[in-house]
Amino acid sequence: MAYATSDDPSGEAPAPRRPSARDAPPARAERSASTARDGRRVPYLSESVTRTAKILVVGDFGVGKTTFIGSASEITPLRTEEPMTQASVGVDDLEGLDTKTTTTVAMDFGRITLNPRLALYLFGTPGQRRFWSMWAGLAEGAVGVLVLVDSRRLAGSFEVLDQIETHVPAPFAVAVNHFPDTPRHTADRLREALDLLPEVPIVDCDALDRTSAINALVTVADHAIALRTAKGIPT
Amino acid sequence: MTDGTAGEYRDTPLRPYVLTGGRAGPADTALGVDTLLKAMPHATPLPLSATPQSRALLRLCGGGVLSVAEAAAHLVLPVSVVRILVGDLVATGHLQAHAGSFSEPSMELLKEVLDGLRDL
Ligand SMILES: Nc1nc2c(ncn2[C@@H]2O[C@H](COP(=O)(O)OP(=O)(O)O)[C@@H](O)[C@H]2O)c(=O)[nH]1
Ligand SMILES: [Mg+2]
Repeated sequence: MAYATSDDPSGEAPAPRRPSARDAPPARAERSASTARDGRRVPYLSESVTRTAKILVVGDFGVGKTTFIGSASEITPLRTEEPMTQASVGVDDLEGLDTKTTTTVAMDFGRITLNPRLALYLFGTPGQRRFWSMWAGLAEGAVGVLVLVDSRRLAGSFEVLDQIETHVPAPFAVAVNHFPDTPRHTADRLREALDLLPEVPIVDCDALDRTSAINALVTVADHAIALRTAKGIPT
Repeated sequence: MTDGTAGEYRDTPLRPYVLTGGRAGPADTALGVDTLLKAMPHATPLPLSATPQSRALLRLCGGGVLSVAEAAAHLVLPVSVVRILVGDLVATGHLQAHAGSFSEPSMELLKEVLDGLRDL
């Protein structure tokens, strides 16, 4: 399946998924009608859903965000493109920007109906500093943030983690996405390399596998509850 | 753009404010990316002056419940534009908007999310 956006600027093929994820039976809450502008069937939510929650999936380019969302989502992942106004682009990035164009940042997202009343949305955006304005608002009210990391090029994640730690009040967990040639690191070594506090969960993940992706999301929700519980205990 | 950016950002001549009648400010209604939209069943027809984008949005939402982000993706419009269109359609009684994450989720909601994920 293709993204709903018909003209993917890069011609980037949708990330491949394991057949097991693709062939899963349709989510119980999914209902379709042909009312999209392009005539495609639109997977509407169940009418019984009245509440929503969201988790952000952020990371460096190529760490597997799109793949991850595709594996976890009950609908074919969707994509929107958001123009960044020049005012919201970091001052250091204004130079070299063509004033006649608008820089556009893509956001991939998916949906999981968790129970008849509640839908969870997964929003994936690049986490670099220059895209900060784009996802700062997205993080507001989120259950938490999952930072996807490629341990073969950890340096690419430093800036993303810096942004999260400085600006995002929502809890975050780190998922190390495993590629075939990913070396095995112990969690301790990764924690040290990424300079993460002891309470930040680190979980292994295979973004191509639905169960693995869901497990990483469980880690985020679990951590959010643990932090809230700790905060609630009077000192 | 370098190869590594994999289509995650690009420059376009797009001018979204043209679609929203020159406004780029936030809509009055609380509208998050995950706010749910539904067409009001017995609303009056849209005025003749309504934009094709507003009509398409209302038609899309007539088919069932969708989030702001989903509506944007299906209409191939930026979320920021759809927010403004939704705000107008809510103000005129054509669309209903509810839910959406704005502030720290309640402990109850966190637990429901965790239980829901574990039961998948
Ligand atoms: N083997 C393997 N390949 C992956 C995994 N996750 C992503 N990829 C591949 O890595 C590339 C980049 O992934 P993508 O999801 O587009 O990354 P994004 O830029 O963060 O959205 C794609 O070619 C994916 O197929 C994984 O868990 N295992
Ligand atoms: Mg991507």
